[in-house]
Amino acid sequence: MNTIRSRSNGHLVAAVVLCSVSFGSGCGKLFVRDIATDALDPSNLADTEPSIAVNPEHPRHIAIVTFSENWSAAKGAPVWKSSDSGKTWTKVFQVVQPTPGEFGPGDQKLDFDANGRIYVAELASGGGGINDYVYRQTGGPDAPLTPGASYGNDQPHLSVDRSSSSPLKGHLYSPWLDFSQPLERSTVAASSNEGIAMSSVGAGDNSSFPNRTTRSAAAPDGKIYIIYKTREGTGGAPAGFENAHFHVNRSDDGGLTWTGLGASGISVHGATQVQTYFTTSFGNLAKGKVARARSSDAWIAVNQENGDVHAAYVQRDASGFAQIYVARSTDQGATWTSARASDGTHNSAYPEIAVTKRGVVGLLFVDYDDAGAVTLFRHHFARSFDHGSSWDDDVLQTMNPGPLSNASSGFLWGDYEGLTAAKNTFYGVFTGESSGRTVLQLDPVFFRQKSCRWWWLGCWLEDDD
Amino acid sequence: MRKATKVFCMLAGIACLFYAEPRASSMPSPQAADSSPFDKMLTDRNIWGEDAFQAFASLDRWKDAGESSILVFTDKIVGGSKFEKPEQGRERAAAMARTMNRPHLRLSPEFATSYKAALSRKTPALQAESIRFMEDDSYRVQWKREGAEFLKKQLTMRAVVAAYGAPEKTTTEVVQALGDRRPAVLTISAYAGGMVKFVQSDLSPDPNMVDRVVLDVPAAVALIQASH
Repeated sequence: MNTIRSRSNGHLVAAVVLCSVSFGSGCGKLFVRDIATDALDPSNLADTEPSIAVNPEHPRHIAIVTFSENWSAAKGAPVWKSSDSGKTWTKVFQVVQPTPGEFGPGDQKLDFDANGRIYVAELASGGGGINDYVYRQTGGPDAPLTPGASYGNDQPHLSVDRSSSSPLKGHLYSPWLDFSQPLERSTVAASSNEGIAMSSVGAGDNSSFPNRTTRSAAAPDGKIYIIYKTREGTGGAPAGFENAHFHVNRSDDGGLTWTGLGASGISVHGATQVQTYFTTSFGNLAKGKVARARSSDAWIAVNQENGDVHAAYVQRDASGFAQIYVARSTDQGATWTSARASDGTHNSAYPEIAVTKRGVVGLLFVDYDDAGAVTLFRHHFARSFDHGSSWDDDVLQTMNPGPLSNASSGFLWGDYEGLTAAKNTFYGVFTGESSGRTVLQLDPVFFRQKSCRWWWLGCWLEDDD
Repeated sequence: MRKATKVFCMLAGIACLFYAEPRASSMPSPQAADSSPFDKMLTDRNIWGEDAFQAFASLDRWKDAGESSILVFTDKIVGGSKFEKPEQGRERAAAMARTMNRPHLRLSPEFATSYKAALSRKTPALQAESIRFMEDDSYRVQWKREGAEFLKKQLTMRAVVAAYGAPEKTTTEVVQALGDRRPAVLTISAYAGGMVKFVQSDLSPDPNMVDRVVLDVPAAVALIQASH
């Protein structure tokens, strides 16, 4: 009897120890860290509009760009880098001034190719106007980057085709908005030689309405997708909102043409218009600082294993609130199934979406709560283990920007933030309230989380990507 | 009251008035108190290049064109009026160009002395032209001349504060453009009742530098011009 009881106790102890170890080891646990320090950010810069990329060759190597130091004739703008999965960070001042007299960084986005070489799309402005450049690595990883040909205009983004199965591996694509058209047009600049030469092609349908919010994602078969919105007026929409369609289109020929899904693409929410944000007052102006949300309402990602396409967008729905919806296509964008991802209780926007190797979908977004005396903005990270049918939502941070001296009302964290996936882990960055700084301020906050549940055995056995 | 006492009181009163009058006139009026640092700033060679003084001597052109403020950068002077359409900017620039050959203002003695060297320089005339102002995508009028230095390069806000004390008011402004590129976040330090504003931009290569100075045109003309 005693022996049996003793053996049972032993099993219990072993189970408790196992559970403790698994919890302690942080299997599936959310890791969140302010990457700035007083030493790295002595000027207390706002570090807005962050973007993130993970080196596919060495997933512990992570790069982030934010609006930190500007480039000058003498010194480059920084790329934040970590080589230990985001535990510690440095700034590498390698984004040089593209041509004399050009100011920046303006908008920016970064990515890695299959060989672990970094690329950064940058907007520069100067006396002559606006130019975009894709910077490439021509020396060591931390050496000054080399800008390619100038192209484009507003809000350049960047996707590098790094799939081993892609016939267009190594091609890169940079969507931007063409303001030279009578109605602005979503345009994509493509390059087959690392940005040395860029070729821009109109990709959005601006025949009736101007376009906005162009985002891209490369598929494992070499196809490239964009999502963009057509801005269809404000009739019947509340203040700060406009009527829109969110379209996905596809290029099957390396960006030469954008008719894979017809001339204007496919609306991911069907024929009916939706109402989305177009405002410089996301939040409650009467209760504190507010944010700009004009190109802050769509994102796209492709499952690199099976080619499923996931699109996130903003739709003000019957709840009376702007909500985050996620649509999924299993037939290369031809048809879509859409469902709400946010909970219908607060205005939400700024969706970024990513998919891990095992098909788990991650969603970063922001909502706000103005029920109290001040507006509280909340960064959420939600994961769906069932292709978007349901979501596990974590609040990464709740922030009142009021006391943050470098938080400027009208542009708090930027138009978009950063989320990506490498293998089975999500990596993200948002601009939030600092921690551990002498001066309370906006800082880039990094997070990562595995795409598994803590009780999955596979989760414990996975490397910490 | 006896007659002698009345006369004494009257004389004493007159004496008091004579005594008090110069003291009263030596007290600066509120306007003078406001314009005093403005006055000094408009002749400060730590703030301005010599080309600025040439431009200041012709500020009446901006006023006549209806510009209530100008933005003085290191290499150009830009009007405060924003136009949505390029033709509006071109019209304003053309009207101003027609005034560029006018003789400069008749300067008050203080400014005539201070600006004498700048005005005696043989330099090509400033060119008035319409530009697209990148910061907010508006169309505006600018004065420019190749190689000119209006605002001193490398002028820091720290140097301004060392010379003139803390600003009366500091505000922040986010300047939105038509597109969604990064907006400029301006830190505006106001002096002289807002007649002069030192502006730092987070888009500058070094945000600690003064990016531009905004001048109140009618106030500056009133100060500089002799007839006023």
